[in-house]
Amino acid sequence: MPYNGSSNDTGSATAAAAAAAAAAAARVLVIGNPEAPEFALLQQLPPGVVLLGVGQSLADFAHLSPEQWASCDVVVKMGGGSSPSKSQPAHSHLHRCNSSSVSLTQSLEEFWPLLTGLKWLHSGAVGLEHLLTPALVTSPVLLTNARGVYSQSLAEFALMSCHFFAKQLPRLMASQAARVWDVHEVQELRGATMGLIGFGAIGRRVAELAGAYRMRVVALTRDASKVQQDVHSGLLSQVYAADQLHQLMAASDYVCLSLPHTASTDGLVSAAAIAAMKPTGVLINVGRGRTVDEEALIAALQAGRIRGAALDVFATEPLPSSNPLWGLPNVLLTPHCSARTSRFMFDNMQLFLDNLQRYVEGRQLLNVVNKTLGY
Amino acid sequence: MQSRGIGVDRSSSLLLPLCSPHRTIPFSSLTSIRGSSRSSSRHAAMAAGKKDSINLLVVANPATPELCVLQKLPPGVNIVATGQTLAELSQQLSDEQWGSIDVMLNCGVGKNAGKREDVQEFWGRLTGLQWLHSASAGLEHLLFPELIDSPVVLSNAKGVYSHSLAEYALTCCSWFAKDFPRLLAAKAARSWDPYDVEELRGKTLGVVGYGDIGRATAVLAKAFRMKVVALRRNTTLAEADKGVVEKIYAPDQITELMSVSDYVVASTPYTPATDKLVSAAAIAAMKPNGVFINVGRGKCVDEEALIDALQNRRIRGAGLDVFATEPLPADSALWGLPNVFMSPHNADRTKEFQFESMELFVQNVERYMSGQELMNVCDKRSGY
Repeated sequence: MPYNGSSNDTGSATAAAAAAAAAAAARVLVIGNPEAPEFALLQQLPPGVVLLGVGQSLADFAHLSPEQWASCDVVVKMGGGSSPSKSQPAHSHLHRCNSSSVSLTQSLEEFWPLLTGLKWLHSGAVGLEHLLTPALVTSPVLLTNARGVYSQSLAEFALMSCHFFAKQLPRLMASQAARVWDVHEVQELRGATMGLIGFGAIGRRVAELAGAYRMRVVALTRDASKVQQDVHSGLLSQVYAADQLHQLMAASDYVCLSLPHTASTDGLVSAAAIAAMKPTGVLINVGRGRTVDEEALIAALQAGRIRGAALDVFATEPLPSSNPLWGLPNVLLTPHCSARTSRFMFDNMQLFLDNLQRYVEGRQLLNVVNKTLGY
Repeated sequence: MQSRGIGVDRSSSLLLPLCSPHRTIPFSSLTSIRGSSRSSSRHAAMAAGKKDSINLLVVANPATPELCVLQKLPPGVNIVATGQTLAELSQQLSDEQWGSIDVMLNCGVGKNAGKREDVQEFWGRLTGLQWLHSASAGLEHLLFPELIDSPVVLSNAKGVYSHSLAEYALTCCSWFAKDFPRLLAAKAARSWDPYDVEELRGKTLGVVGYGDIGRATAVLAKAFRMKVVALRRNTTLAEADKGVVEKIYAPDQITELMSVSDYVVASTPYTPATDKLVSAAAIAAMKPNGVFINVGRGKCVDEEALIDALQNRRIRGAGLDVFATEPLPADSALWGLPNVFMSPHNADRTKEFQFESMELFVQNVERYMSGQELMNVCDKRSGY
């Protein structure tokens, strides 16, 4: 049954359920692993908020009556967990890539027809490409995500990647293994150019850290007017428009990609864009693997046409063992866990709780997603 | 008389090696004049007058590449001789000329450098010497009793290397925070094995030796939103440091600093006071997940005790650019330890590093000749 909500329509709720819903500040359903430690934070719900339940599949919510389902106005969709695995979807772009992870879309499709009273959906992920079904996009349901929660961790990874190449870490390690005192020059990041493709929460944090290293920071952005403040403050030295990608590639010593995967960013960093890079250039990707032409990237790395790449995300994850990226010495490879810290799910839950407080008070929510744009 | 050495002659720059373009960094952050009372009064006397001309002795291999920067010296500087030993220099200098030298530059790296024994040999002839500038930051290889006791003002290259070393220190921190050994092993095995990484944000960095390098490291650490504590002889914090350092410890409180730090960065010079400053007791006080990073001098840490702690996993690991003996002998246990990240004392060895040091000397000469205070005057008795 397609959801057909409007602002004054509580769907097919009975009068009793409507009355009950009106009395509660919010009725929250949490999709995630009840045993995850961060859910201890759910004990701190704002007054008047009713927790309908925590679980991973419909079976976990068998105790809910139809009226309770219909009264649910808030759903939190957290990924991950350490429970026994469900079957793995074919192309899972998960923010936790182990076999016991809960898929973001699969679970929600099960729930969707029952959530006739849904007003607000919060995702504990940043990437939403699998959550944005047509039904969700066309509905009036407000969608928020975890933008910002991962920024520090990913920015640290981006700078570490720069060091990996600037200080010639592979060479240092080889010398150490051979017990050879091999004095060689190193590079400073100071004065090098960091080119950001994607200037959202992640790109911005990378810019701040790169600035602390006195790198020259430039960015490609769809809306130059939004970053004028950053040019004035000196955070950015130069801004490139969307059609100037090749110029940014040619000007940068380190290129850091943090784009979401949408129809307009698919394969954005094309073979031609990669060919425009400096021979000493390094490509860093902490966004989504499919924003890069991975075949072209592999070819460029194999031929030594760029210095190297640092990749946390890939076109297919888990990365198949046959993929040449594993064996390339000029590649730093992390299995989509550079944002995965032991505290990030706590930060994630805290973000949801802060937003829940705003929801209950009728204030503007943080991290509202433009469902049409996809981020 | 043989050639009088390489002169600074604007019209024929063929005499100096040609400089390829290199980056010039501003030395605006280099300030503090710390001198003993004896050298500072001498220094004040020196600073008082303008000088139209000076005679400069360059102690280095004449083929040293960074000497080309000396082309930028102001007019009136006469390089009377360039060489490393008494024998070489005596070919270029008469007794009278030795006595006319008022400034000496000690520069060059490795084989290109002038050695202490050589300088001691001709020291007695430098009867007119006012100022000695060292192009390195470390002075332990240069200082000798006659120099220390003399009124000659000594300056060094403090600050030139700081940013490089700060970058290196943060690289070491990240190495352990992101568990690089695990990442690299997984890559070699083609094993997709996600795990929780650590953020530097919120962790405590303990800086042992809060000089120029320590401060540059602390500032970078703050950008990562780390907490910073520091150890220094002078426990009074400057205003600018109050926003950076949360707590300052005296050297006899080193075990306290070690016990609260997740990452320790040592950046002290090597002096009698800092020999094994990071003692066995200090290492024993570290957190079990603590990481020790050294960008100062190897002899400032008890290396045996450090090896023992690393072998027995009483600390998480170490990042080391400097060692008690360099080059590190092949039989040192450090090479084979999986929890050690090491580099061959090249953490500051950028293409530019010696050129920038020479640029600083040139700027100091300009100050000297115009009667201004010198940058980076050292306390010879303290050794830094």
